[in-house]
Amino acid sequence: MVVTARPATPAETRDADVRRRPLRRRTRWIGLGFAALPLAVYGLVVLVPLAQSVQYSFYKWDGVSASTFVGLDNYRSFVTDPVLRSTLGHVLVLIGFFALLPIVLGLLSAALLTRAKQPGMAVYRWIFFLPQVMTSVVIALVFKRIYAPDGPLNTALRAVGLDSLAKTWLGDFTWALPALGLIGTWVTFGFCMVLFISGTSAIAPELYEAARIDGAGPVREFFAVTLPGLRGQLAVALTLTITAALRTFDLVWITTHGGPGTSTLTPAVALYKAAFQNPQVGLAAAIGVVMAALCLVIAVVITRVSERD
Amino acid sequence: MRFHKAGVAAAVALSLAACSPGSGSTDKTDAPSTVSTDVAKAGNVTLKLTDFWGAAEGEWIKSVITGFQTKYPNVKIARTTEDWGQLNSTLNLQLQDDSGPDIATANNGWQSLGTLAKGNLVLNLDAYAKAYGWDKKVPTTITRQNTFTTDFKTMGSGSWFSTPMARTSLIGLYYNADKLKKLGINPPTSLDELEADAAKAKAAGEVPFEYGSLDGSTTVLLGLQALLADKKKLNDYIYGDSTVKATDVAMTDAITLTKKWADEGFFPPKFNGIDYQTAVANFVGGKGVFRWEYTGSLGLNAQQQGHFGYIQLPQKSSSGTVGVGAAPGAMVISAKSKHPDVAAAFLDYLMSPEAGQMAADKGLVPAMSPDVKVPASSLSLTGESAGAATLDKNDGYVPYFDWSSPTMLDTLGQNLQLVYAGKMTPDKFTAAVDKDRDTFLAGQG
Amino acid sequence: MISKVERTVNYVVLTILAVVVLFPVGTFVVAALSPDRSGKPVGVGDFAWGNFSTAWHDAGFARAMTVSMIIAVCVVAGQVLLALLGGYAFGVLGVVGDKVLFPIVLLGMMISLEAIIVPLYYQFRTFGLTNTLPGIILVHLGMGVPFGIFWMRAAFRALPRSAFESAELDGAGALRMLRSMAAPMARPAIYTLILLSFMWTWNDYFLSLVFLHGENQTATVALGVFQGRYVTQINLMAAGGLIVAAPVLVLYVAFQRKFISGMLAGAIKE
Repeated sequence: MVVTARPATPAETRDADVRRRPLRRRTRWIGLGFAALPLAVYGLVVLVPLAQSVQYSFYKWDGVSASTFVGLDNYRSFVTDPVLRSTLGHVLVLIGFFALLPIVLGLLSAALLTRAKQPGMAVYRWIFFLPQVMTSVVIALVFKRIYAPDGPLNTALRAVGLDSLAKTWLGDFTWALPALGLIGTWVTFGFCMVLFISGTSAIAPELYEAARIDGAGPVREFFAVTLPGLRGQLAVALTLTITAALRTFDLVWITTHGGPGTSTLTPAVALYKAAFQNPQVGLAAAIGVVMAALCLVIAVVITRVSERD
Repeated sequence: MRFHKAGVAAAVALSLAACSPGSGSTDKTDAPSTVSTDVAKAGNVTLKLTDFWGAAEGEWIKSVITGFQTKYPNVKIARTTEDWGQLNSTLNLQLQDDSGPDIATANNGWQSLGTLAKGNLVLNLDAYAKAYGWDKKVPTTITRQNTFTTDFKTMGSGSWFSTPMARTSLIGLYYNADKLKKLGINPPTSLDELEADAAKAKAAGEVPFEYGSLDGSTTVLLGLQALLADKKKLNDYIYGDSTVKATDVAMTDAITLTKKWADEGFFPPKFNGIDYQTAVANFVGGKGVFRWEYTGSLGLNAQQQGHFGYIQLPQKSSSGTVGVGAAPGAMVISAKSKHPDVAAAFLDYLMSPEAGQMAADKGLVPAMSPDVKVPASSLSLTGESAGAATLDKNDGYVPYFDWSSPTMLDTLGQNLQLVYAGKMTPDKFTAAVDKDRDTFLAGQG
Repeated sequence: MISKVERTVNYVVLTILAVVVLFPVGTFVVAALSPDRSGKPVGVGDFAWGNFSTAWHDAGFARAMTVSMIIAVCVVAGQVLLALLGGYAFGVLGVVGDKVLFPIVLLGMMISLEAIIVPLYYQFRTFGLTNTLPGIILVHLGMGVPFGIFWMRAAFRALPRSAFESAELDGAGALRMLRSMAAPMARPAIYTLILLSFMWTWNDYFLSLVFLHGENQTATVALGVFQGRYVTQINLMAAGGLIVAAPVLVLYVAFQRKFISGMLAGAIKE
């Protein structure tokens, strides 16, 4: 919400009457009254357990019997254990597939779908959103089959003469993580697309007309008008997809369990193993706290950057 | 204003921190001192049973319940079934609920049963063991699987906290009988014969062992280890005797042999991309000649049971038969149960020869039931129950290796994949196994 | 308006994407119709249509779907109410301390459930709300508040300011403004929220897994009966998966027009 002094572009002028200043000082107390119920429910279900999680993270605890206070030991093992530390690197790779790639594909499909009223666009929109609707357990099982050594993907590669590219995707130390990532791309891109379609339609048509009068082709039009107009949606998409990447659990759990070796272990899987398989609730809580902190930082940075107008 | 709020939040957090987690559940429940085996006297009782058995196992427990209710008309058993993963991860929470189950299936080992026993969520069953004579009825190697010392530092000795049942789940060798006949091979009777047969099958263009390592399946490794290791040492290792090391229990030999088989092409091509379920389906569907597998996991139907055989191979040193095996579930009684006497009677009934015969009738592997009748038409079940009977007689059970620490299953699976990929040597593998267990033992204090 | 070449290129690119998206779905449907436990594809003549009724009976979907439906409907209703209140407060009225409160609310969108599930369970046990439908509904509502506020706040902020100002000049109170003006105007965003909230609640697996047992199991958890400790019946699981996905698909088709128009109205314009 930092206001910088620079000439307003047409988009911002249009935005100006939408801009919101608090009505008056006193409404902010009424506002608190309105927000009280949702905040209370939220506090009860999320914040209180979160605070307890923070507390657990300083204990060695099996979840049942008495606990021992261990200070920062759980955090220390998260940082020093090479396996746990490697999960953060895996998340970086996953962010590429869960966030960047879907956003690019989402932009592409949104641009194509909104550029002109062509028949059949609603059908495509429906198809692209379909993966979002499916249960993750089901998705994981589907892709396990697709990536199998004699599964459809390898069969297709061999059919077009690319035998050398056929591999045991999920069992390969190099390829398992990207293969998992692509599942995320498949699921997420429809969601990004819908966000971007909404944003594109909110861009003033005059801007497009002006660009066309200037003789801009579809590509230049996209970079000059569409992309800048989608800043808000990009921020939302980035926040949601990056945190989704950080939280990836079901997909990994059902397809690879974190293997081969530990090459696809994510923090959420490590957390689940610690909390429910090996009774190390304290370590699980520490992983959860670190994840939450990372997510908060990411969200704050993205929000700051995007709200700077 | 804002800072004031933050201060309040911090104060709330601190006051929460004042009481450490788990401090509410340390009240000690001792073993019941006076117990009764007279169920009829208990009056009308309803017991809640939660188990993770589906399909044939589900049918079995239903008939056992019917049998028990017929024997004791005053008892009603209300059964709930949940899938294995769900029950496994939530049983400790359920047992703390006042409305939780009276009897449940837990998993042996530290991760499940050990935690429940330590947290006083399940009853110490010593008094019932004495009243029903379980120590005489149950082979020692099986008894040890259900015991912990009361300081909860050691597994495999001390008090009973769970009971087995008249069924067992073993790791052994399945073979495709039709394929063996076609190849002109008799079912192997020793490890050496098996290796020779595998080479012959390979030469004939067959896959000797159907197997996939995508989810880190350890059946080959553990099946081989039982043929190579010393029975007592292996038991002691798993139960946490820190003087025994993984090299003493043939871990290096077993992993070396497994890797050798992989390199000789005894496993299917690209087996690192085949998951467990697919490998099972492939084997049942006619791919591969042999398969190391848990009994009951192939899900063979009556017709298929005539085409697949099972062998419990003797040890390489031919000093008797040792096999990985345990009851398919550890039966526990909730510390909150109001009718522990009746629950214990049900546990005893689960170990009876009647229950064993019911298991055989449903195509499941019976145990502790010497006179059980198995349909001759079922080649696999005949082999399986012969295997169980041999192990009963030899007192030759070793528990699943992953009971040695809560993280052992992951350690084995992950490092096995590294060994297959040539990224880890067998020696390092064994060292990693020791490190995992010893770290855990050190943490136990 | 745009050239024929461009139009064709559009279709080609979109169709390729559509094939890539649909291919896995197709594999899944084929697996659901396979008579084989491993879900191996078979010819059209061998399709095992009976898988659907077998799955329906084996998983006890009649009961499980009822439970799921009760939970989803209650959560959606509560969710919309909480989101309207919270979104209106943060988006229109302003809230005392919102510079701190709003990021805290946003934080909730990113916390993974696994991180808080253990203390959450103990807390709800002390209320006696574990293994009860009101309990799990409350958890869903709490977990959903962040997105709800985030979503409706953006929707309300996108409404023209002038409308609020003239209504205020007419002496309308905050509540009346929400009821008679802001909520109706933000209707497209509300439809979208309904769909998303229903979808997320319906597809939840982990929460139901931990909180609900026995008679209270939801449809997604009921799918687990096809996945034993050792044996998974992939064909039945796939058939069951399609049954579970059906209500969301139906709702999506029914809502698509409103849903997209919700998006088109710039509901999430930051």
